[in-house]
This record gives sequence, structure tokens and C-alpha cells, in this order.
Amino acid sequence: MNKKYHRPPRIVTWLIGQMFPDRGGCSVLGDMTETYHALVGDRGIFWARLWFWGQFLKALPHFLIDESRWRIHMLKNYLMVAFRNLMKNSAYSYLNILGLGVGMTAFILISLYVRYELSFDTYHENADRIYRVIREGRAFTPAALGPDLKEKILEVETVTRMIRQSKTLISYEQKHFLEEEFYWADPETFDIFSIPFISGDPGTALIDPSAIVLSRRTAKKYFENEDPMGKTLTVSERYEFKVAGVFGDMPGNSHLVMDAVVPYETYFKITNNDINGWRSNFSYTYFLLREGADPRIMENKISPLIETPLYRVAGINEPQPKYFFIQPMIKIHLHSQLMQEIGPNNNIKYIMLFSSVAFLILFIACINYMNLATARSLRRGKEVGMRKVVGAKKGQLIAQFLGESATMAVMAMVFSIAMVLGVLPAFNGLVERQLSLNPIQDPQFFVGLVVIALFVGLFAGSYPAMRLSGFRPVSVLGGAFTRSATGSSLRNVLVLVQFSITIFLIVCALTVRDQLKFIKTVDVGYSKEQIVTLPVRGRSVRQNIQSIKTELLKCPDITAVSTSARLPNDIDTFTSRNWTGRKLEEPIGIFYNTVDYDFVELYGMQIVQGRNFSRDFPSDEKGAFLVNETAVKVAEWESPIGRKFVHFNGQKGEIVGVIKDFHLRSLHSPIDPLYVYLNPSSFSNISVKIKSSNIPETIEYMEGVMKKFAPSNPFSYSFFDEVFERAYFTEQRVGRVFGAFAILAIFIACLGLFGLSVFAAEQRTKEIGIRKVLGASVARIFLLLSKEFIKWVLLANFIAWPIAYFMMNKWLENFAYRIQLSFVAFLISGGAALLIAYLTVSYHSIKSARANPITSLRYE
Amino acid sequence: MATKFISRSEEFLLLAVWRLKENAYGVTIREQIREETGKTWAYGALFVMLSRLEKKGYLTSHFADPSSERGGKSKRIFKLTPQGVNALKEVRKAQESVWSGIEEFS
Repeated sequence: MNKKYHRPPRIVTWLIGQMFPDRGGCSVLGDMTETYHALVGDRGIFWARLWFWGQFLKALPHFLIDESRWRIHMLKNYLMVAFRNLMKNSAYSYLNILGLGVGMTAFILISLYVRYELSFDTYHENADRIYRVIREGRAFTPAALGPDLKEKILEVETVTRMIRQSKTLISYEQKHFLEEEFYWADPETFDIFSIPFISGDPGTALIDPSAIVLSRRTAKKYFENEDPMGKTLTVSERYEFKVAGVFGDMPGNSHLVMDAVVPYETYFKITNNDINGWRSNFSYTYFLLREGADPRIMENKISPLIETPLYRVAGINEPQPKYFFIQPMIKIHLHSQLMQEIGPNNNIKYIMLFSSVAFLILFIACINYMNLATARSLRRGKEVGMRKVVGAKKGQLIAQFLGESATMAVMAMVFSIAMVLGVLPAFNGLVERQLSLNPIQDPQFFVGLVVIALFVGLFAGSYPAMRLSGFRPVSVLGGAFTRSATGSSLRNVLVLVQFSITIFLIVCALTVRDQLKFIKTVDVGYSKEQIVTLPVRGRSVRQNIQSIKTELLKCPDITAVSTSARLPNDIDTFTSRNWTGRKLEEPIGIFYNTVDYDFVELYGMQIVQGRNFSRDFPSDEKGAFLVNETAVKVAEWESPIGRKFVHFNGQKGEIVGVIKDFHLRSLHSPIDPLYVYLNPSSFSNISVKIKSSNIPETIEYMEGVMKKFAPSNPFSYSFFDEVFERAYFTEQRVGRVFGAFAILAIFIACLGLFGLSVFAAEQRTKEIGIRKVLGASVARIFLLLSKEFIKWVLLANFIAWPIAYFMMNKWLENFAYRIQLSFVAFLISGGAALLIAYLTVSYHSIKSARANPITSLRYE
Repeated sequence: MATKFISRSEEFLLLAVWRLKENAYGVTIREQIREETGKTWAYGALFVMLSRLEKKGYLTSHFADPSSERGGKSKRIFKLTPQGVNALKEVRKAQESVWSGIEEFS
């Protein structure tokens, strides 16, 4: 033998030791080492090492096959035991699967929703390079901006401008519709956005000034099965456009959905507006950033470049640091909360809120499982003991129980997928989206679900598995093992966490509800009830408005009719100007609305100074203004009455009165300065005050009148209070979702509590028996059994309240007009949680408290 | 008897153990088999087979004197059990009866 000791390759030794602990110890490694040393002597180290590796590789398949043979035997046993357990304790299993399943359902629903919201606008090919130019707080930009960007800024590849003209009347033969998504847009629109054309050429479709491009559904609406190409549509009863293209409907997850597109420049020809103007803002400007360009650098280039024309127009003397900003298109839906947005955007805060609710509910469900499984563990103590005695290792037991919980989780997942499919239509109504769960279209999502199921199984099973596998056979099998103090304390903490989350969700739901109720009932400064609004477009309505009004008023159930450009709840038209008689010189922004004589009265607004518009004052006809109190304050006028004022389009007039402040936009924003201009012939809404009786007949009558005088104006109407509430759509959705998920959370928590109470009572059967024999009353025992849980539920309040207080205060800060957080909401949620917990626990507690002690003690 | 016969390789192994008497452990068994059949077994295969035979009850084993050339690991010495002897006898008997009267192959 060699003098020098040569160790065989250490990696191999280690590998065998790790992979096959049973074999590593002595025999094989020893034998291999012995031969290795012989080989070192005979043929040298290199060969010996090679041989050693070779032996290892050759041994691998043998070992693996041998090993797995026993694994499979054990697996069969585990599966059998798991199945038996499931059958034997079916109530418990249902409880568990139900809890997990409901939690997962909530989770899946919210993830579907969140995923949909996050997917907004991402389908465009160049989505990450599309940006929108905005101004501080506003989405509209001047018409002249677009060409300037393209010309002067290198980073800009393509620019498009567009004007949205909602409720545009389009006619084809006898068909008339108000188009909500009608756009005047540059031909480059189709270069920037990925909108696939079905017929026509996207590059040239909008070059012809009288071309119109329609979405597939819009084309179908007008032409049904005819070929739309080349057909002529009439817009606003005056302008004819030829269909030059049809594109595939834009998906719902777009912040910008177009149904009819006509050339941008045509708008300026028709309206006689200046397409190179900087003065008025009503266009959206989108551009495609060059590949690799830095958007931040680009953004800083805009304002200085166009300083001169812009400031000249706006009358700004000193340069402002930044006037234009850019925002990535994919962020618009969740991050942009500007005035003049295309449609109501969602808020990333709510998305995060919903996501955390989803995780919280899943977490509650996991806790449930842990709770029930550990409570159950006592029953399975004997099994664990036996397994250990016959040689099961801790690792094997852990694997067994984890496997069991993973199986449960997968079953719960299957159950929850079925449930999601069942409740998806209802959920879609709740969040007002069209979500779907389709495994074929969406394999990734399903893989995700399986991963989640396994994760939940492992997470929820981890604690029970650890505990169960840690049992000492002697104590389990010795019979002394009945109730462990350590186990119950952790269970209590879990109950605590669970109920904290539940109470938190209830507080949130209640607060959101209160704020929404506040919005509904707060005095906004105008009346909302019994007003029907009709959106109107087209010349015929405008020409016949006097006859329409007269005819409408003939109906005994109609008390007043008024026309206005904007409804009082959403006055978003804005201008900026120098006012006469102000102490300071620089211009001030002011909102405006155009109305007729009856508007103020119909909406029950109050005049605090001066007078309302009146037919008795013929001078009003030439131009008259009302301003609100805030405007007076901002302008620092001592007496506004009789002052000269100028409408945004240059029409002059006198201020005749001051309106009491009312909320001209949503309660999110404070009341801004406003002026109201009298012009009975410029309007886009008719408001009709009706009596509360015979409403259907009244509506029918209105339809008749409208059809008579404006047959091409499609009749549509809304109740003003609904229109008003519609502005709080996002908040209502939050409220509904919170409500629904608070209920789910309660349900899951109750399932868990119920299971726990069953086991607690079971554990203490004998104790209860003895207590009863010694004279305890049912009430006392009931108290004894429920005390434990109730204590923790009470404590949960004190954890949940501060968190809820903080979060809800943050939420309410979104509103300029808000409620104060009420202590009542907190008390109610705490009380409700307590009551529900009590009811849940009491069922079984009473049952065991009333049990005859003989049954529980007879074996002693 | 209706029990399954041991396989040929099992037969080789059992015989090798029997021949080696007190010195039957991995290295020697492998050596023995090579001498008799000319085939070199991998230790992995050898070991799996040995432990299977042990589980079946044909072999028993005990550990003996660790040595430095074995990297401080003790030898696992195998011994034939009476069942093992029986199994060998049965195989032998069956073999002789099926081969009896056939001269050409000897």
C-alpha cells in the first residue's frame, strides 16, 4: 500500500452520503474506497479516480430504482390514509375545502380583475413608446402643438392629434345614432396605435378630408350586411363623409376606444377654427417616441420650444418652468387623474387595495386550514406515533402531511374554479367589466392557479405538518396526550389575525358606504330629483327648440324645461382670461357653462346677489352673465353686479347676479370659480323637470315630442340623479367590492371558528361532563367554552381599528368634501364581528353544554 | 413448492457468499464473481442486489472492523441464512432435473 493516503473524490462520497443516506454509511462507500485504494496502487490515481466516478454513475440508476420502489409503496399508503381521513371526517374535510375554496375564489376573481386593469393599452405593438402630451392637471392641448413637436423635437417619430366629440349624431338613410366614441383625428393615428384594418388602407384612409373610418361594430350598426366601403354617412345632419375603411373593434381594455374617425383638419374647416392656434385647448396629442430616446429629456424640450407663441397667447409674461408634460400611454388608465380625460380612469391605489384584499382573504383561508388541521392533529396523534414507532422519519411525516394539504388545496382549487365560472357574471356586474376565464386562451393563468394551489397547500400545511411530525411517540401513545397548551395559543393568535383582517374589511366597507351616502345626500347646491336629461345633437333640435319647449310644457306632468351646454354636476369647460376690475393683472382660470333663462330655476339654484337671467330685461338677450361666489372671492370684486365680462369666444355682456356656490364637479375637487353665460340657442342637453307620478307616460310623451320636431335625433334620456351618481362609479365599485369581500372574509373566518369550537368542545367533553356532575349550569359551561374565542375576537378590534382608521383617512383625503370617520362604523364592525363569532361558536358550545354528562363519562 | 426461484445473478451472489465463508463483503464478493464468471459488477448493482436478498431473508449481515484503507468505514459481512441455503438447493435440484439426460451441451 502507498504511504500517502489518497482520499477518493470527495464530491462523490458526499453525493452518495446525501442522496442515499441509508447506503452511504458503511458498506458501499467502504467497499468502493477499498477497491479505490487497491487501484491507486495498481494503476495510479487518475485511473482510480475515474473508476470511482464511473462506479458512482453506474450505481445511480440502481439506487434510484431501488429507492423509488419503496417510495411508491409509501405513497400508496399515504394516499390511502389521506383518503380514509377525508372520508372519515367528511364534515371537517368539507369545511376545510370550502374555506380554502371560497378564499381561492375571491383570490381568482380579484386577480382576473387586477390583471385586466393592468393590461390596459398594452396590446398596441409600440405600447411602451406611445406618450400623451398633457398640461398641468389637464389632458387637452392646443391644436398647434402636434406639428411643432414633430418638426422641432428629434425624439418624436410620429404625432397625432384628436378631438373626441361624444354623442355625435350620425345618419345613414333612416338610421340615426348618437355616437359616443366619435373622433376627429390625424391620419397618423393608425401609425401610432395598432388598430388592424378589415378593409381600406390605414395609411391613406384619412387623407381624403371627407373620409370616415368606422369600427366593425359601428359599420354593422349602419350597414348591416352591405359593404360599407364608399357609402356616405351624414354627421350632425350637415356634413357628408364617405366610408374609407373599417377596422376591428378596439378591445375593452383601452383607455381610448374609437368607433368612428374622421380627419382632424376637416374639423377646423367646418368650424372655422384656427388649426395653428395656441389659444384653445380641446385636442389630445399622442406621439410615438423614437426607439431608445429618453422620455425625460424629451419632456424637458417641449416647454421651452413653444414658449414664445404660447405665452404670447396666454398673456404670460415670465416663463414658467414647465407647461407641457408627457405621460406614457400604458400608464394613463391607472395613473392619470386629469380633467378632460377621455373616460373615467381607474386608480392604481384601488388596484393595490384590491390586490391586498385578495391576498388577505387567501391568507385568512390558509389560517383557517392551519387552525383546523392543528386542532385535528390530536386525533391523528396515534397515527403519527405508530408511524414513528415503525420507523418513519420526521421528514417523511412532514412530506406526508404536506402532501395531504396540497391535495386538499388542489381539490379546493378545482372547486373554486367551478365557483368562479358560476359567479363570474355577477362579479362582472359588480366591477362592470367583461372578464372571462378561458383555459385554452389563457394557459399561463391556469399554470399560475396550479402554482397558487400548491403554494397554498404547502403554506397552509406547513405549520400542521411541523407540529404533527414533532409529536413524541411516547407521549402520544402513552395516552396522556390530550390537550396541548402551546398548540392552542398559536391557534388563538391565528384567530386574532383572522378577525383583525375581517374587522378591518368591515370598517372599510362601512366607511366607503358612508362616504357614498354622504355624496348622495349632501347639499350640492342644486336639486337632483325628478329631472330627466336628454342629450341632443343636430341642427333640427336647435332650430326647433322653442317649439319643443312649448310642446313639452303642455304636458301636465312636466313643470319646467331648460337647455344648457353642461349639466350642473360636471362642468368641465374651462377658460383662462384677464378679468376687468381685478387688483392683480395675471389671468385666472374659470369654468363656464352656457344656459337658458330657466336653468337656474329648474335646478333650484339660489341667487345671492343681483338677479337671475330674465326675459323681462331685454338687455339680457345681448349677453348676460352670472358668476358664483367663489369667482367673486377670487376676483376680489367688491361689487360684481353690472361689471362687463367677456365670454370665451369674445361675446361681451354684463354680470347680472351671483349664484350661491354649488358643486360644479365631483366632490373630489373643491368648488372653483364659474361663470354662466346666457345663450338659449347653444346647448347639448335638455333638462326636464317632471312630477313624480306617471313617469313612464311622461317619458313617452317626451319621446313623441322629440320625434316630431327632430326625427333624426335618436331619443335617449337619463335621470339626472343617476347621472350624478355615475360620477362616483369608481368609488361605488370600491364600496361594492369591499362589501362583498368583507362578507366573504366573515364567512371564511366563521368556518374556521366553527371548526375550532367543535374541536374545543370535543376535547373537553369529559371536563364538561365532570363540571355538570358537580353542578355547573348550561350557561356557565357555554360561557366557559365561548370565552376563549370571544376574548381574541375582542382583541382583534384593537388591532384592526387603528389600521382601518389610518387607511380610511387616507382614502377620504381624495375628497375635498368628506365625512369624518365615525366611531359608530368602528363599533358596528367590532360588534358585528363579535356577534357573528358568538353565534358561530354558540351552536356547538350549547350543544356540548347541554349534553348529558352520562354519555361523556360512562367509560370512566 | 410454488415459491419463485431465485434468479441466476442471485444464485451467483449467494454462492459467492457461501464460498467466501467468514470473509464475504462487498469487495471480496465482487472479486469472487469476477473470477468465476469473468464479469465485473458495479458496486451499485451489487449492493442493491445484496440488500434485496437480505430483505428476502436469504442473507444476514453484520458490520466488522473499520479500517483506514476503507476510509474509516466498517465492512458489512454477509452470511447465508438457512433459507438462503434452501433456495440454493432448490435451484440446484431444478436445474439438474431440467438438464438431466441432455448430453450435447456438456
